[in-house]
Amino acid sequence: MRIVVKIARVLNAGGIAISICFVLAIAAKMAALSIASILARVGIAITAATPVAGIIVAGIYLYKNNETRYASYAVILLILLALAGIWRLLI
Amino acid sequence: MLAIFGCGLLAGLFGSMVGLGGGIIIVPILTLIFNIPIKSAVAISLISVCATSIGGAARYLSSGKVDYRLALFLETTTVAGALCGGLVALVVKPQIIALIFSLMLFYTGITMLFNKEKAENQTGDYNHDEPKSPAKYTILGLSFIGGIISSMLGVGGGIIKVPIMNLILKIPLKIAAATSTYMIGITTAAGSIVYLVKGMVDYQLAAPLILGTYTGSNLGARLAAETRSKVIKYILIIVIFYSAANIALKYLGIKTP
Repeated sequence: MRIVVKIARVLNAGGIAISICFVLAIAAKMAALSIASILARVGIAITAATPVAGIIVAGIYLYKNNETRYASYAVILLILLALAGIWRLLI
Repeated sequence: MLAIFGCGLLAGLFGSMVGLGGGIIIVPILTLIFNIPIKSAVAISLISVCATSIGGAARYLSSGKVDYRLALFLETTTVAGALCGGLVALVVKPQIIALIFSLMLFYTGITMLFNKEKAENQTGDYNHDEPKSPAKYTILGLSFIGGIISSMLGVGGGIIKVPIMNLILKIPLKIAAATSTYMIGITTAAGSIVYLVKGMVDYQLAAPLILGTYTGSNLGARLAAETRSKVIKYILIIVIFYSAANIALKYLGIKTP
């Protein structure tokens, strides 16, 4: 299977999970359930994590295809995204 | 909550029908209609644009239009720019962000006004080789700037990325637009993480807005092929100029009618 199809599958799965989380969050909010906030947080976390998952998949399959140059770009991106998550510990 | 969902739906619908990401429309809606501070609006907009990009990128990837190797290469500096932009946005005054955003809106409006329809059908031969220097360093530098703008203003930055790829790397517009959509997801994810860590995202507000823009952009992509988007384009240009002027005046402390 081509790498693009694998990345597309990851993004599609993420998109479906995001939609489900936010629909449930809105439904819970309308029903005044306390879980609404948690569902919204989970949805946002999945939104930010989906492109990261796409990069991981691309990196793994590029490495398997011996395209180490492009796989290394994926690794650099993951390091930068990790920095985005821990910048408050550094600054 | 339904009003926010509706605004998100319209932003996603009309935005995708004329080839705009959500940020250009969402930030003015949140600041001008819902009176949300511009920094919070930028944070929510970034996550919303990220969600919209995920859906679009998946479609483009499946159709084989995305050059993901080039995207990964360019994103190394774009994400670095997004991190810097996000951190800078946290410390600068909201007035400065509002003014830069207004300028960005004027630029977008003018670009849309003079954009030739023929260019959208541009095709041509394209090879997937990595760009050679000096174009390589120029585009990496410009991508860094694109990342800063994206994170500071809560926009995807497609309006910068697509011309860069098309003019400097001579990539056909359709491939440039598809690759840009994939890149926007990664850039905005980086920017979103910076704001999430700082705790600047209003989850209750973000949920209906993101769902609205995500649904609207998917609908818009389908409707765009069947409807004439020229009228919508000109209405959006007027709205963009009006929003640009209003945001600038609001943050300069000048009352508008």
